[in-house]
Amino acid sequence: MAPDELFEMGATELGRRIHAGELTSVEVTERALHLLDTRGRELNAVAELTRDLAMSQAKAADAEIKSGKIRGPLHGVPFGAKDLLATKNIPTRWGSPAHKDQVFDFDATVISRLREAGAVLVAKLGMVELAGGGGYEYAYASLHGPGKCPFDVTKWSGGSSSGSGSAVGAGLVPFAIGTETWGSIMCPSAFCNVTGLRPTYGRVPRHGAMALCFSMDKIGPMARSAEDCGHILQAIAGFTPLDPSSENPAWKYRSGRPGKKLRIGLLPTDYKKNEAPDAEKLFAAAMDVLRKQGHTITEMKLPDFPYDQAASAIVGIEGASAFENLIRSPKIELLADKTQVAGFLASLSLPGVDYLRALKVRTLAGQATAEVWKKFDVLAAPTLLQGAPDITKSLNDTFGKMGGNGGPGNLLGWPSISVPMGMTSTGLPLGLEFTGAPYNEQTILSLAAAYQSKTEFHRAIPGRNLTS
Amino acid sequence: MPDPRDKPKMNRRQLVRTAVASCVAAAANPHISEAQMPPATPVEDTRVVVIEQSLGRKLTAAQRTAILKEITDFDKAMTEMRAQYTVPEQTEPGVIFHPHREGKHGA
Repeated sequence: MAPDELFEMGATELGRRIHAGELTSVEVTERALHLLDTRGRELNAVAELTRDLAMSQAKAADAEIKSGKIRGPLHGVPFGAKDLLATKNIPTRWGSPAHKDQVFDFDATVISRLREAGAVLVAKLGMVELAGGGGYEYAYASLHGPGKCPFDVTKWSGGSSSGSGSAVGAGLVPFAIGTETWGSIMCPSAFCNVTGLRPTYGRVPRHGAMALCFSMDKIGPMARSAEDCGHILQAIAGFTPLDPSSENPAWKYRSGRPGKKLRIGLLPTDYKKNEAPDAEKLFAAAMDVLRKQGHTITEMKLPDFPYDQAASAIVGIEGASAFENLIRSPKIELLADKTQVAGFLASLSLPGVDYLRALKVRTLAGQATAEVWKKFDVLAAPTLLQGAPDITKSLNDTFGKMGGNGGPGNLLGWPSISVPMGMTSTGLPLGLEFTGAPYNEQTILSLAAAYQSKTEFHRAIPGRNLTS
Repeated sequence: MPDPRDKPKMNRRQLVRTAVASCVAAAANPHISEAQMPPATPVEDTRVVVIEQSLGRKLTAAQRTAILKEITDFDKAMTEMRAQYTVPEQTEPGVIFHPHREGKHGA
C-alpha cells in the first residue's frame, strides 16, 4: 500500500482494516512516526514525537485485537494531540517559549479516554503560543515555528491548532485533537482541508487542557471525515468530576445521514466587500448539493447583538486571569509575538464592569437566539472566505477579508463543523461550516456526512509523492 | 519622537495630585483658561503607567505604545458594544459554565 493511501482513508476505515487483520497497529504507527518526523517537521507540525509510548501502545493494541478484543473503531489507530493537552512525563509546552521545560505528571482526560479507546498517541502537535490568547499578529507566534499549510508551504496552516490542522491535512496522521476558544479548530480545518468539529461548550471535559478562557474553551476532533469526527467525539465526550463544566450524559454517535430533511439557514455573507468570488461559487455549489438531498435552504439573520465584542471582552479578561502569574513575571517577554505580549499586559487593565457587561450580553443573546433553533436545524456559511494567507504577512492585514462567524458560535457555545468544499483558483482549500443548536452535534455531523457522501473534496491530500 | 510620558516624569501619586489640583483650580476659578491648566494626561496613558507600576518593572517605550494600542482597541470594542446594545439594568450576568443551559436543546 502506498504511504499516502494509508492515512487518506481516515481513522475509522483504518481501524476497520487493522481489526480485519489487513494491517497492524505497529506498521501504521511506525508509518505515522516516520511521516511526522520528516514531512511533519518540515511543516512545523510536531511539538514532540511520542515514539516509545506509541510503539508500546501499538504492540498492546495488536495483541488485544489478535486475541479478539476490539475496544472500538479507534483501537490501534494512531493520532496526534495539540500540545496544550497534558501527557504524563511527556513535555507539554503550550507552544510557548516560556513553558519549554513544562512536563506534567498526569494525562488530560481526553488523552486517557483515547487511550482507553485503544488509540495510539504518536505525537504532540504544534500550536500558537498559549493558543494566541493575547492576540497574536504573526504566524511565527509559536515555539515550534509558523505552522505551514500542507497545500502550499508559503501559506499559514491556521491557528491556534496549527499542527493538528497541517498533520491531518498532509495525511501524516488519520486524526488529531484540537481546541477552540474562538476559531482555533475551524480556521486550520478550513486552511488545511480537514474536517474539524468544535463540540458544544461542556461536551468534552477540559481537565488537563491549558485554560485560556474558562467559559469558552472547547476540545474537538480534526479528521478526514464527519464520520470519523463522530466516532472520535463519542470516545472523548461526557462528564468527569475533574471538570465541573463537563456535561452528562455520555454521547453516542449515530453513523449516517440525517433522519429527516433539515431546515438550513444561510448566515449573511458579503462576498463582494470581501472580494471572495471563489468562496461564493463553491458555497453556492455546496448548497446545490444539499438542496438536491431535499433540505430547505433559506436566508436568515441572527438577532442583533454585539457577539464579537462580548466574546472579545470575555477572552481578554479570562485570559488575563488564566495567565496572570505569567503576565506579571518577566517571562512574558519570552513569547515569540510581541503583539501578544502587549495584549496580555494590556489585559491587566481591562475593567471588570466590561467583563460583566459581556456576560450579561451573552445571557441575553443566548435567550434571544433560542428562537433561532425553533426555525432552523442548522446554520451554514463558508468557514472563512479566503484560502490560507501568506505565512510572513501580518494577520491583522490578511484577515481583513476573511469573514467568518466565530463570534456568536463561540460566545454561545454552539457546536460547529468545518468540512472541505473545494479549492480556490490558486489551489488552496476552503471550508464550509455547519453550526447547530447546543448539544446537537449529531445533526451537523449527519448533514456533513450526507454532504461528504456526494463530494470528494474531503479526500484531497497533498504530497502524494511523500518520501517513503 | 520623544515619549510624552517621559516629560514630565510623574509617578501615579503625582499624576493623581496633578489631576486633583487642576480640578480644584478649575472649581475655584471658573474663568481659568485651559492654557493655564496643567496638561491633562490621557486616561489610556495613565492606565499604561498603572500597569507598569502593577508589574513593578519598567516597560520600554515600544511596549508602552503597543499596550496603549491594545487598550485603545479594547476601548473601541467596548464602546461599540455599548452603542450596539444597551444591557437592561439589573440583568444577571449569568452562570459562567454552560452559557446556554437555560435554552438547552437537543440530546
